[in-house]
Amino acid sequence: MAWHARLPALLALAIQFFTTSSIGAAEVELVDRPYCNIRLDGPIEPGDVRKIESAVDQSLSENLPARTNDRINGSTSICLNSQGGNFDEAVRIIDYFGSSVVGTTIDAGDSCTAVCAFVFMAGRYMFYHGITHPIRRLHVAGTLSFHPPVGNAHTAGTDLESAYTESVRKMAALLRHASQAEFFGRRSVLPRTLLLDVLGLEAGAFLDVETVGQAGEWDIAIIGFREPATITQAMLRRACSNKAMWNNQIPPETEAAGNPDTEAPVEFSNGRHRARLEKLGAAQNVSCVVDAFYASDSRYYVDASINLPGEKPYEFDPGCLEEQVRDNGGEQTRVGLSPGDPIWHVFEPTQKLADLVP
Amino acid sequence: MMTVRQSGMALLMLAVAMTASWPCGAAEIQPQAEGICTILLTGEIEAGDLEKLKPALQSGRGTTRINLCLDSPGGSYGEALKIIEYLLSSGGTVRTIIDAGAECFSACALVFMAGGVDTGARPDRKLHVNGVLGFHAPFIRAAQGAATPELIGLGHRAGLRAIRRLLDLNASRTAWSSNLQGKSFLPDDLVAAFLLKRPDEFLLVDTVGRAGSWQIDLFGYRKLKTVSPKQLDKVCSNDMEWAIGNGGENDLPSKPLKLNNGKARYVIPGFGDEGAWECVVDIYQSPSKGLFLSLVFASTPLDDGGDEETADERPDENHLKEVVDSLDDPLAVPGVPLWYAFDGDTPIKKLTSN
Repeated sequence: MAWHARLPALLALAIQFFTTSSIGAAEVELVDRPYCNIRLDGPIEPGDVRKIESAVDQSLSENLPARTNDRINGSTSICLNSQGGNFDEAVRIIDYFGSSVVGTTIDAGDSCTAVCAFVFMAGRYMFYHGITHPIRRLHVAGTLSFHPPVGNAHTAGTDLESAYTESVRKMAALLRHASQAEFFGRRSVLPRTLLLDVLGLEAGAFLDVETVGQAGEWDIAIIGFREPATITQAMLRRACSNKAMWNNQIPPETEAAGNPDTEAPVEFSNGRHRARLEKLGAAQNVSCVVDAFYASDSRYYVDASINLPGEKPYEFDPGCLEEQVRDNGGEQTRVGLSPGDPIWHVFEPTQKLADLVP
Repeated sequence: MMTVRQSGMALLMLAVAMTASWPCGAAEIQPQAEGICTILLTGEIEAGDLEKLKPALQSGRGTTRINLCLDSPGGSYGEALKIIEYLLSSGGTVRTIIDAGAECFSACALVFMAGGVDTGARPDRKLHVNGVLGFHAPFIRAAQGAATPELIGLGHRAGLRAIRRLLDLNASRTAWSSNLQGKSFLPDDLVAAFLLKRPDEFLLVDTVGRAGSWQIDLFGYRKLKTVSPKQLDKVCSNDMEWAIGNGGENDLPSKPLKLNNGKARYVIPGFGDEGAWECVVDIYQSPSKGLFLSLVFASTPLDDGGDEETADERPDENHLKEVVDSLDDPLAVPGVPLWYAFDGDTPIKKLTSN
């Protein structure tokens, strides 16, 4: 992001630091958008969580909008456009999202920075029988930017000791959420590596989520991207190596050992293609069975099964992906909940999100 | 305590606070010829203590397990992190112990948590039920100065960096799913809780539930001589609750189980989501070493009994006896500790043996 584009965020940080009064809290309103039915716009200030609660109640009571998949399994979704604001109010919003199951989105052209980014990460939906999963959707034309929680004159105290204590207190609040691992542990509100990277930032620096690799590692769903026009063998290998990296922390192999890295499109039979890939991962001891499916909506879908060394090999029924697409494709894919794996898993981790804008 | 002494210049003070500290009666580190301790560390932890500790630890490397006993009010946060890093690189060979009557607070408590941490294995840190373990947040002591925005910003960043150093050490030893696998030396929920404790207060590990949740083994408690289905249910429930927060209880009889040749296997269904798992508990009464338990959660067999995978998940029924009979470490606990049979809110002091 260009320096001038940082000005609003830097100003917001400066205001947080030197003032105690609100400069105008966020506007929260009901909307009818593809990815959300509530929108928050502006700096997060004390009292905003009440506005969000009220909007969520209203959206549920009025059953808005009619498109059920925007309210994934009964969850509400909120679009965020904010340069940050009050840390404690952000934590209250995060708490509320946890108890009320609210998904989050940064839409095209919107920006979510500083404490807004932590709020964004708290988005979730009801997955199954009371189990929630994260759902935080970043449009490739949106901006997600993290910054360490800074103090303000109101909360940081008047000396070094209290400033130090204040930052430790804020870390406790963030860690309380980072420690709330979701189903089977991997899916955390605040992934550890993200938290460490944010804490390692120098004063005034920001961490932008701008690549496929960052989104995948931190379990952020990408939306609004240009979908692939074909599927190649190399893409399927990336779908495997990305999943092995993001789900199992297995570094990718340095060369395509035993896996010809061809950019030629794969052939589909009745819309299906299955590839078996061996010698994946840095130790070349991981295998993968990956299905691709070309659906009637002219979209490609993929689903990779990673087989780790020493574990009993596992693969889906060949028709499983097609069945999932038939039952849950289309609309759910559009809102970031694809059957199988998200199709953007076939992109290189270094792929810039901005270059995926259609 | 994690303190830095006052200086005339607050800014300089802060810069020093996160990089070093001044010795003021550093810890004493003494090899022990008798008792459960191989090495005893007492007193305030100060800069340079790791260099004193290293030779003592290295001289014990010939043994399979070094028992590092701790009795310290705390001290330098930075030096504690250095000691932790060294212990974590030891491949889990150093067990940490807080013995009866000993106290381990603040920086000492962090060092204690690094005991016996190895990838894939349960940590090896032992708290006597008459010992004391207390955590609180790191803090600084600085001279009062002008509250310039620069100084306050500096204080903020120093606090964030102090926590990052701790998390960084933790991350180096942990899988992504640290809460489930228990491979981190400091559970995130413990860190989140003790960071809220001020310098003058402590988060004490004073209940069975806290010890279980944070994978701290208790010793010195009164051992069960018999065990009932009701107690085994509590063991299973606690084990699951402390691992993934999904425990549950059944209404089972409290009459002691009868053992056959000192052994028994007891299966309790109905654990996990939709009761998909059953808890398979093996019991072994060693004539010389007492009662031992081990458990696995296995998939509930299908009604037709034709699932081969569920049979694979159950250990051989002689496994526990073989492990216990070959034990020569009186503090080692194969399987699951007997204190898992107590309610989580039981104060550990109430478990004192006679």
